[in-house]
Amino acid sequence: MPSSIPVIETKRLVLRGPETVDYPDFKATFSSYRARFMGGPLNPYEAWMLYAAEIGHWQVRGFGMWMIHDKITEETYGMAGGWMPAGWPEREIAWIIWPDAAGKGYALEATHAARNYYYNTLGWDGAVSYIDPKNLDSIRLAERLGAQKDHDADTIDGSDAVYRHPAPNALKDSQLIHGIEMEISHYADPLFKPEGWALD
Amino acid sequence: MHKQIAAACAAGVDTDVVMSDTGYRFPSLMTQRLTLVSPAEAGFDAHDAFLRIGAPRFIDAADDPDALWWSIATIIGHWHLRGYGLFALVERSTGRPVGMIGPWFPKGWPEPELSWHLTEDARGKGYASEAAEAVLDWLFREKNWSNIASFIPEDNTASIALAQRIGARPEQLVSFRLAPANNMRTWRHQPRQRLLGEPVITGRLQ
Repeated sequence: MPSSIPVIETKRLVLRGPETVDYPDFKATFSSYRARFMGGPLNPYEAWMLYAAEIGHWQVRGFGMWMIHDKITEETYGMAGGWMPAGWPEREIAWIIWPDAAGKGYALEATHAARNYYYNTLGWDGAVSYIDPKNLDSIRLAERLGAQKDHDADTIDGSDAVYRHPAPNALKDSQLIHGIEMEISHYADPLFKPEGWALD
Repeated sequence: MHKQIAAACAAGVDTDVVMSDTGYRFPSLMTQRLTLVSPAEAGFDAHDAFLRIGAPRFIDAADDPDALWWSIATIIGHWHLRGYGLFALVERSTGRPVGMIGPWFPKGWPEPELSWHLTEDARGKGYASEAAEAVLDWLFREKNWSNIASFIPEDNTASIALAQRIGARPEQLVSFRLAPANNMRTWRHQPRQRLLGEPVITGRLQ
């Protein structure tokens, strides 16, 4: 039982537990078409109850989803973290980015940090992401994170695809991790061109 | 090669984890036979109290373990979002959780509702009224609420009897889209001092 939700700082972001003041941002996305791959769009009652459950999840499971904030402006960009409500076969690394904040690498930066935390601090031995097969943006992100489609794993309800993340040992000091960190650096500073950066 | 590139940018992608105390402190109340604790309090083990196999069952639809999980998660989140919510009732003599009671006000509810759920074997002992008195006292004295309603189906004689016993007054029938039943009446709880000098109305107003 965590007495508090950890705060994680990355290059551009700070991940904090979901708070009351962030609810309007959450509701705006979950009551919109953007949430079609996450069981939405939700009505006001459903959106509020889901937000409450996002918070309760931390207490019941000892981990959960963080709100992604801009480190400087505090603006929220979406949510990312661990997710395993009732009915989930395994612990999931999950994410949603508000429509306005898409395409800036925030999901990559946040999920990379979240996965590191769960692997290195909580000692997880692996994780999956459950993704609607039509959600191409999320599938692309799962693949950038090194996750691969697992055809044999249990799904939530048969309508989702399971992407399995590399185990901690396979990630440690790997080319994949260095590539992810280089990609994040490039998002943070588009002029960043380390020696060897592919120009084509 | 990739290691050298990574080393070049590693300084910028360092991840920093800090634990911060969110400062949440939730109330707990004590009565003669019960402790009322917020399940959002950090030390409360919601899994052990409600979710493990064999845990006491008392919430409607609790036969569905998935629905129960979502109920408990939302009950905890409700405390964070509203600053109040359903207390877990713990029997002091045994340490056993015997139910939940408290103000419940998700989006879509017409107003905050004092709601209660007891396990089967905790009924008939006066626990609900004992806990309700404590919660009402907390709401009226500590939170300075002026009233709170309960929505009770007309055929739920046990809950109507409880509402009357703790001084609630019947008002109009109530219906809202999310209402769990379609024959519910509003019963309004009043601060104790307001009841002085006015007879408690025990009949139906309509």
